[in-house]
Amino acid sequence: MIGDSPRVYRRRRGPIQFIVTTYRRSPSLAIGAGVISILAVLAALAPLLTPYTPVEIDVANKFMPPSGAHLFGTDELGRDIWTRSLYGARVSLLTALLAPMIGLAIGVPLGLVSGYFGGWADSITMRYIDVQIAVPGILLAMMIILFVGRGFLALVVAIGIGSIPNFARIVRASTLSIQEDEYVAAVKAMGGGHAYTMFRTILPNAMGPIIVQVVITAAVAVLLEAALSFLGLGTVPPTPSWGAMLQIGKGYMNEAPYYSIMPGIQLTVTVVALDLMGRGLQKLRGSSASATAEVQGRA
Amino acid sequence: MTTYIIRRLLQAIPTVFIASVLVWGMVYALPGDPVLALLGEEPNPEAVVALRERLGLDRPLVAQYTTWLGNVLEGNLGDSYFGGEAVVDRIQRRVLPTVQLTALALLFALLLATPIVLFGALWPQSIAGRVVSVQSAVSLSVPTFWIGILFILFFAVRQPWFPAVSDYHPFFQSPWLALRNTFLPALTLGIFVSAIFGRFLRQALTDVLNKDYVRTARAKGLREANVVGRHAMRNALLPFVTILGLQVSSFISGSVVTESVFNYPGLGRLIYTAILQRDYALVQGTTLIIVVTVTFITLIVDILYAYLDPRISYS
Repeated sequence: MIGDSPRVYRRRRGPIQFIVTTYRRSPSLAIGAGVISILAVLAALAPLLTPYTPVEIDVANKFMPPSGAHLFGTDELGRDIWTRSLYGARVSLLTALLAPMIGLAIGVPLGLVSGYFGGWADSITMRYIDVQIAVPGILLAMMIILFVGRGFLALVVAIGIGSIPNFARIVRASTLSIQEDEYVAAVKAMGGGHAYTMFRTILPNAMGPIIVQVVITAAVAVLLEAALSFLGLGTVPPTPSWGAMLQIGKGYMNEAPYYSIMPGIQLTVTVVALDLMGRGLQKLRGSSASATAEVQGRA
Repeated sequence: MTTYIIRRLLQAIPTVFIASVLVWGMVYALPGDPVLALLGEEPNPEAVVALRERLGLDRPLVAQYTTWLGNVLEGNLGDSYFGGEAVVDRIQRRVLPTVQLTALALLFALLLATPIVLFGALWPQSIAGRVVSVQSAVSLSVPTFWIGILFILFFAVRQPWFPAVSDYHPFFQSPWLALRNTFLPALTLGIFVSAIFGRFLRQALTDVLNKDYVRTARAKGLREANVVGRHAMRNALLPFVTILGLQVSSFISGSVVTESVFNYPGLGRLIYTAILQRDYALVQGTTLIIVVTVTFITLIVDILYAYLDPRISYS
């Protein structure tokens, strides 16, 4: 076998210093990551932050405008909107976390194999990507949900599958250029097998763009989850989700205009924060952002 | 050039072929018996036998596919499961409303994207440059359907300037009604599309402005308007056009959402209702048309690009 590649050991630093350095190097990364962390903490600690439960019905108090007792008011069944949006954050953030994993797990090997072997493997992969890209992202997700049925898992799978082509394309492009480097030839000459060369030599050097793509995919996933839930293809009620809340709110614009506003603001903040992180990471790497990667799949 | 076009055409054929097989196979991939999926929970036995025969489900798969493909090529996409109307007719009725909405949306998108591109690429550090950078980031991140909801809330419910539910009125018959009904959905879709336009064209223009020939043009003492308008913009539009071809499917995503928010009777909402109602014939028909359209547009754009840019190699 081939010896381990040399590693750079850094002096250990405290968390505060880490945050300060990150902020100095890329303010947008630090701000974006900060907002997402706060949201994640709020979502995780939801039961501690509210005296209500998200499914607690109290019809006597329906459509209460925002007040001390109900920060964001109550909905058509008297449920506390602040509580529901805290729990709704769980759905959004978990989708943002899990959907890119599917894209990673399938798209990365696909891109590696396609770029590494070229020829037939490449042709087949590229045709598959062509076909999937020709289907609008939200439509593909809707059809997958039609097949597997509604639910949180279906959402994650549908959105994750939609992100496969982006990962495959990015990894393929990196593989093609990294393959030209001399150290790859050296690894092969020393007897490195195909799998070893692909996963241990090429992949580590292609990680930068992949990480950026994970964050961008997370932002797209939040948007798609909300859009699908809004269209009635997301989580099954009464599980709260920002998109589903906006769908209900749209039916009560006269009685409760605030209902249509709060979940939307939270959604926008989440997506802006993830986009900031993505942009910050790109800047740290010193590369200009690929617009295609950023835009593909949004709705 | 001719060889390039032929090569590119040959590349598109497998894409369309694979897509057609997938679309055709969709009904078969559904859990359970396709006939039951078509006829509902409790069909009468005679109908089952009749449909099985009509669909030719006892014949080999390849034969079934070629029969289906033959029908499609003759313009027969089957009948909608709801109401039994021909799928082609239902799709046809939605084309014009979508074209009208898209046309106005593109106009809004151009208006909104122009400052993003100009200020963002030319004076990124100025106040205007910073403002449009925020505009660009926000319009890329705000959920399209929520923009639609806000518009309805503020400009249809609070201030009843526009209808909350947008209907289709042909522009050339009743321009005022058409504008009133299409304005909000078009603006919503336009904001989404302007984010994409702005993002791509700003990058293309920034890249070109760093090129040597732009420096030369400036060094010659050309006015900035000339440098940007005649030298930079023209070259920036080229990569922009190709990438736009790839974004057609994003635009369709945007219009599915927008049309659904406003209940606008276009193609996007037709697909959405077809999926919700599990009207598989309609889903098949619309998906096939979208895939073929997107592939075709990508093809045209690629060929146009090769034609416009003499530097591209056709090999």
